[in-house]
Amino acid sequence: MKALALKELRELRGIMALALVAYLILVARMIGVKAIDFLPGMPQEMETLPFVSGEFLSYFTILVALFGMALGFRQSAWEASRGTYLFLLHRPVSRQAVFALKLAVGVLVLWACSAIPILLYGWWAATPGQHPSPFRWAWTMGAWWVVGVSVLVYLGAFLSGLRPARWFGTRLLPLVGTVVLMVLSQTSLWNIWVQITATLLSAAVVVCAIRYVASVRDYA
Amino acid sequence: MKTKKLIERLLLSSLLTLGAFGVCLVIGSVVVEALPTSAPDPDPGDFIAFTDDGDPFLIRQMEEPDQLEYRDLQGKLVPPLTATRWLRLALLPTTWANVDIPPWQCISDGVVPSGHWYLVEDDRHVDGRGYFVGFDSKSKRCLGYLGQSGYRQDVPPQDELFPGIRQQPGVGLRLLSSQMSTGAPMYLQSPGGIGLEIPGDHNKIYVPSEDGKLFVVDLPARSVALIYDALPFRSASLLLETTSRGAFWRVALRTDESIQVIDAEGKVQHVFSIPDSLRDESFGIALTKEGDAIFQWASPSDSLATTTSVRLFRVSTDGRTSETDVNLASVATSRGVLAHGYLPYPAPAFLAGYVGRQRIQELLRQRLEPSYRAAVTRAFHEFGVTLAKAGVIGLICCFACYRRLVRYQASRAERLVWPIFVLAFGLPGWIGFRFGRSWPVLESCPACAKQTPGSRADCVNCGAEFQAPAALGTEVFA
Repeated sequence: MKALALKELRELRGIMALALVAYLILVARMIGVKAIDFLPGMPQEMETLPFVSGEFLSYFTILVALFGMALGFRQSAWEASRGTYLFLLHRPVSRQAVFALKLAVGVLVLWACSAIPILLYGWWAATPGQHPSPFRWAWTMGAWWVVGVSVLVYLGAFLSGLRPARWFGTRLLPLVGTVVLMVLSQTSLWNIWVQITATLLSAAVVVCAIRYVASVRDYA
Repeated sequence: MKTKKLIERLLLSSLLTLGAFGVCLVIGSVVVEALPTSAPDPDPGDFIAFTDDGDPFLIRQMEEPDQLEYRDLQGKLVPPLTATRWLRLALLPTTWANVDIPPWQCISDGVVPSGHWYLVEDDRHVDGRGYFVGFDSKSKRCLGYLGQSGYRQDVPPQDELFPGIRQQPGVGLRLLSSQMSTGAPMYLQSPGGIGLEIPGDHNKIYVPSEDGKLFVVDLPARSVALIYDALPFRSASLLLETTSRGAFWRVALRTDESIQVIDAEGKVQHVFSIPDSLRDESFGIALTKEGDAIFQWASPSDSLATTTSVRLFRVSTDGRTSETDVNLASVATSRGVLAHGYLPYPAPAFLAGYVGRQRIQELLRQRLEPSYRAAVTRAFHEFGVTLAKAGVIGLICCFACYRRLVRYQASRAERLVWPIFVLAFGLPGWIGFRFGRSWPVLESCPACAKQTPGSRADCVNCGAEFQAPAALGTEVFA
């Protein structure tokens, strides 16, 4: 199992590096580093109030979603395209354990890498003399919430990559479905605990679907 | 085992159904925008504006950005009023909680280098107490704090905090400033004419507290003064008064029966009685150059209505009131969904969900219906035809689903569960059912010539056993 976990980390290191670079660029722009002004698509100015009043949360959400999708597809569709599933599933470990380990590594990588920009930006904002506005760590809740909910996008991408179907047909429907689930479970009509429960239930549904597809799919 | 498999298939199909619904929603919404509806297209951009004499005019935005059309209340075209000062209405809702104040407003004190001041909620309390904290825009160091007693170098103690400043949890804090787009009428649309004269005291903030007091915070002087502590008020807004001596900011305080217009020192400048029919309504108010008050009330927003009723009142300081009623054309934003909602929501369950989440909530929020039951009855009556069309789509898909299950000799449980699933979720449900599993190939039975699933060893129709394929000599026998 340790070897499988290391194998997953090794395969994901490229995507992790890209994501960390993107996150660091975003944080650098938010704290006012001028050297990266030439990069297109960056936020135009620093936030008046960190985490609250500007564009950090929008850009961060997009980056987290893209990162989650990339992780999900890399862990599932890549194995199929390289034909390594048969070798992987012939290890002396149950099929369910293999996929559970993949999911666990993927979720941990997603959360760990996405926590870094929040902590960095928050540390900068909490340091006196960095920006002419107040700051409270409670204001980072929105960003943490995005990280927590992004697991649905990751699971949707994993299922889309795992489930055999035409790319221009129904292959991406699970990913679209998890995005719809994410939107539905974040409705402002519900209180925070209902939203958390809805998100957890949605994740459980997707994991069950992944388990089912992993057990019935023909890997040949 | 079979039940577990059925549940797993249902879960996967549900995900695919949601995905298909997402795609239908996007494509269907684009198509609905392009389709005509039964209601005539209303003229866009009609609104009422008042000259500084208090005379109302209908303004229509034409296709060109700076092109405006002016009409009187009878609809007759009048020459462009470009040599006119226009009044700006200040909103006074029934309660403070209905005021849309965005959170975390940065207010500048106008000093060089400028200080950025924020009204923040005190972490030590949950009842919405707060204080102002300022930061130097250049050095970024903290300038100090402002509480009820004025300026301090540290966080004010509990008894100096502004009480009851949070209007509702998680949303903005109560304050009025001409620097905020929702706190001052100066940011409303200008219907042409002479530019707005903005008063100089741009750096004062008014903070109403829960106990009916009003404080004025003078940021350049870093002082706080209590300017009002009389009748409890429901809401407040900044008002612009233009007189022969110039333009001045006033604060309009809405009590139960009147509007008290006070200046920055707390002196009452005007008192206007609220018309009886507006006592429980939100309205906008403006002051004419003669000192009369203009009240404007509009009927609640209804996404299915093509007209908006507007009532105008002119109230003088001696209490004389005149009233005018006008009907304005409005854009019915949900007419497309009403007529063709079965396109973006091709399923009874999804369309019912839209009706419940959007229309019923709108009827209740805008007080268009008095109770939940009345709102449900009205909403489903309005969307009845569209729901029926979505139901027909569901029935067709349900029939196709059942036929497929019969053809593939599905179990009794599947023949019950899947048609119900597809009936509820319509076209997206059928997509989820059809692509949520792999289907065996149908082959013709050599004995009865009927179609039968090729994954079996015998024909489900006649029971004849299929012949084994011819041996090639390369078989491996384990």
